[in-house]
Amino acid sequence: MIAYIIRRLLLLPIILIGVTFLIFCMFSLLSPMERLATYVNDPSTLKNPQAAERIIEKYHLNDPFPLGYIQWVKRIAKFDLGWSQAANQPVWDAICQRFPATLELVIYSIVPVILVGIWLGVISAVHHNDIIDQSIRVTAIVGWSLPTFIFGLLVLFVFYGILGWLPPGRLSTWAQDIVYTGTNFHSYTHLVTIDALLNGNIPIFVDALRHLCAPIITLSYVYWAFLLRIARSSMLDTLRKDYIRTARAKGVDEHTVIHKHAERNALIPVVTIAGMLIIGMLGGVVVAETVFTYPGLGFWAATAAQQLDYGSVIGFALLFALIMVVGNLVVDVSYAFIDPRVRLE
Amino acid sequence: MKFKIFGIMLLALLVSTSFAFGAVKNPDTIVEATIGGPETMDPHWSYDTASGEVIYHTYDCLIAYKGESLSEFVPMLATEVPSAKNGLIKDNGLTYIFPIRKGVKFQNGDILTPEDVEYSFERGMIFDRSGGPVWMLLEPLCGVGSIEEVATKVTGVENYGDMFDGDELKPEYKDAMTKVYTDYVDKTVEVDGDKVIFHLAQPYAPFLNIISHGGSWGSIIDKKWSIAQGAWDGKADTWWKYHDPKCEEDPLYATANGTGAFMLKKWIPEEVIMLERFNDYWQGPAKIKNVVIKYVNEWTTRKLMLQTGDADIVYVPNQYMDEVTGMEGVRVVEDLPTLQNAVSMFPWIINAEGNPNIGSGKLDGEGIPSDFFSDIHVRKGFSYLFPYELFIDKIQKGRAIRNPGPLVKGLLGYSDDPSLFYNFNLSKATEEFKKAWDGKLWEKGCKFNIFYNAGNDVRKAACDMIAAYARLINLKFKLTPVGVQWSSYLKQFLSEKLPFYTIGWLADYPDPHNWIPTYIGSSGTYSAYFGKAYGEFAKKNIDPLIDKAIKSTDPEERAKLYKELVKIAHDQAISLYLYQPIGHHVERDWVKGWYYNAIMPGEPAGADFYSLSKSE
Repeated sequence: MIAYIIRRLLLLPIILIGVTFLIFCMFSLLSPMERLATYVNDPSTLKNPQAAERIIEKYHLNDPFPLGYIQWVKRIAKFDLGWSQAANQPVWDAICQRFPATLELVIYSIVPVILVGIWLGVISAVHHNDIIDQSIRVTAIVGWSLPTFIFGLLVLFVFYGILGWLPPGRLSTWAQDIVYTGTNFHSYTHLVTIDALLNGNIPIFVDALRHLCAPIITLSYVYWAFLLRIARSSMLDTLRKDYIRTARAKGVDEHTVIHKHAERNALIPVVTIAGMLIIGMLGGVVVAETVFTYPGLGFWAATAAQQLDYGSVIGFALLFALIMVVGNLVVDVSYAFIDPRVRLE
Repeated sequence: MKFKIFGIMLLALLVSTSFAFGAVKNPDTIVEATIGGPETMDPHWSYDTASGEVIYHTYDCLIAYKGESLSEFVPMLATEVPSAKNGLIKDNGLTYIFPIRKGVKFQNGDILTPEDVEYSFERGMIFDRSGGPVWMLLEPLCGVGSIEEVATKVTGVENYGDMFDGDELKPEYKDAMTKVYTDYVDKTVEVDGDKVIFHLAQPYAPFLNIISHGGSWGSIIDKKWSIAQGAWDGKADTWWKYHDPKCEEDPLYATANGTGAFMLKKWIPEEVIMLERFNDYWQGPAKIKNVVIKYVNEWTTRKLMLQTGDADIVYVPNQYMDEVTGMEGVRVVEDLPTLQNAVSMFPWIINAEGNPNIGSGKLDGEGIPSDFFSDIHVRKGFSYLFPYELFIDKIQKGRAIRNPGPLVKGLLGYSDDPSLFYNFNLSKATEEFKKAWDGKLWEKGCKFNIFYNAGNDVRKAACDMIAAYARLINLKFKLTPVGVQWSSYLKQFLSEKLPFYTIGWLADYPDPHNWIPTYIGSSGTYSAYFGKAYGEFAKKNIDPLIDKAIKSTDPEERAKLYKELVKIAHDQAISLYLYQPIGHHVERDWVKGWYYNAIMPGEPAGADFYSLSKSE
């Protein structure tokens, strides 16, 4: 197992070089002045040729491709990702400011995605082709095919507009006053729910949770619908296996057959998919954050892309690529842990 | 079973923490939901309504408009409004005297002095950032449009930048540059005991209007505190180091300490502004304890915030007014006359450096050349392409009127003459486009981005219509509407990178001189960024008339001159004059005390928060 992990870790830098190289290739398709524009906080600088020339030199934007790549990677290593026009601050600061909000949203969305997705997938397979299976499948198809934007607006309208339960944003006005101004509130993790608990402030915990619910519902519906389909087909495959038939023939009760013998094996491919799905959710938060005015990475990235803010888009792409690479490693390792055949290969 | 219990508990929690409909929410806080956050907190940088709305409440001016009036004033940090009658305007309008109020506290506890007032105006004049508002002080006080103009006059160099080696002033210019302050700036504002005296370079009728405008250049800042923050040290031989800084490098960019009714508590760009009541405010503390301005670009979210009472005041674009009219618990005030307009700009020269907005940069069907709009037929083509009446009827729901040029209804020189209006006419548009660029435009087509500020759905609709009709008359005309966050939008137009953008103007003071130079003068707030070719055209054809108009004291002559200028704007199709909105204000009915002043930043959507309270 350790040898497997070491092998995978050794591959990590190579993958990272590949990913950054590809992003740099795309970055290089821009003209030197367009690349320069991603580093200046005031576009008027571009009107002064001498000032522009100084910045081009400083950032090695006219260097040959290999040298340019090395310089670019060096700057990334120092967290110099340029200037975000959309956030009106350095790209790295924009990421640091918004990442905790998105992370918090994704962490809370994982729970319903995995629990509901797998649970319904198993139920659906067990009740293959009967009314329960059909109802679950229809729900899944609706979830998978309904545009997230429409579903989000529906959730907003019902749970906020009519019921008044789940407001948009990240915090209510009174809670913003406490959290943002740091009045008797210390941000340890910048995950508001966790910080609220660490500060012993239950009303803020509840308020943050209320604000998270609507984007979680929107985000998780799509993903659990997908996971449900995977879990269902995997479970159906497993239930047709010989050892399941043998277990039943031996007189093992149905609950044990399903939950002890079938479910564990059926969930091995689901774990892989679930891992990648969770990582993919970081990229999928764009719509949910936009609809609910949730101040996270997705909201920022969407705004940046709309206004051709290359610096922010590249920063977001780099961050997302890094998360994908590291997340993939974690999934591989956990998969190897669950299924010994993987590490033996 | 456990899940059921958990579900029931969660539901109970949500319901118990939800609000009760009908009750006043956040009774000591006003929440405004709007679009487009501020660019800065520095009064001398600020020249947009979003920044102005915040600065208006954190700083005070010497005098202010009296309630809804645009011609009467009340004393603020001055104890009297100068007039010829009370002897505080002298020398045929060349000297204005302001007795300064005693015992007024800044928010950090410092006491206001006449030196603070002198410092505020002088700092404004030396600061004079590109595209900023300080020309309004320099014009009456120094007789020029920018401090760089004074500097080049004193030093004799052609370009201000020639005096610098990088960021450092060349030693040979130091004495002359010091004189710019001592001989010009310093002499315009002087302290005499408890009074501050302004010496004007020329009689200037709108001077009191100019300095009474809250939210920017007229604000009084704390000298001691500003210097401690790193702003200009008040010395004659350093001023150029503090002139025209970069927005985020300005020491007062994100901080505030005025004498205003509210203190800046927190600013998260493009997300939220939080203000807190200043309890030592010289007029007495505000009734409301907190003000929260939330920047929510999504209309549905803003609407639901209003409906649920989470927002007290909401910006509602005209096309959505039907959705709030009749909404329970909501008050809609309509038909408010405005002094604002919206115009789409055609810069004659576009900055092509690092600019993805003009595609290939050539007239090859995949882009446009940087001087695309210098061809009058292109400008006229677009002027015929816009469906003015349809737009006002369907998008604005009739809540707007047309303007013939850069002048809005209600100002001297405005004319309803039909010959000054372009009308929607696809045949004429086609005819003009066919003539443009010797027929090459029609043959090859064009591709470029057209801009509006994100969240402004009215301007988005205007851009969508232009793009759609352009495509309709020629499939090779590919215009892509792009929404940009407000704070970034302002920077981008200053960098001349936007090929076609829609922007508006809210009067700084109710006089045509605040509109005509802005839109068509060679050094206008907008038109100065149309490129060198336009600048030369304006210097020759427009500036002489503007000068004549501002110097004239005969209203009839002035009106005639402004009409002539509007005709030039029309004949040259300098810009696309879209509409003058008819204003409205939407608030929860528990908000009390709102009034309307057409010049106040943020109005009519926003409010003077000091006057507001909340009760059933």
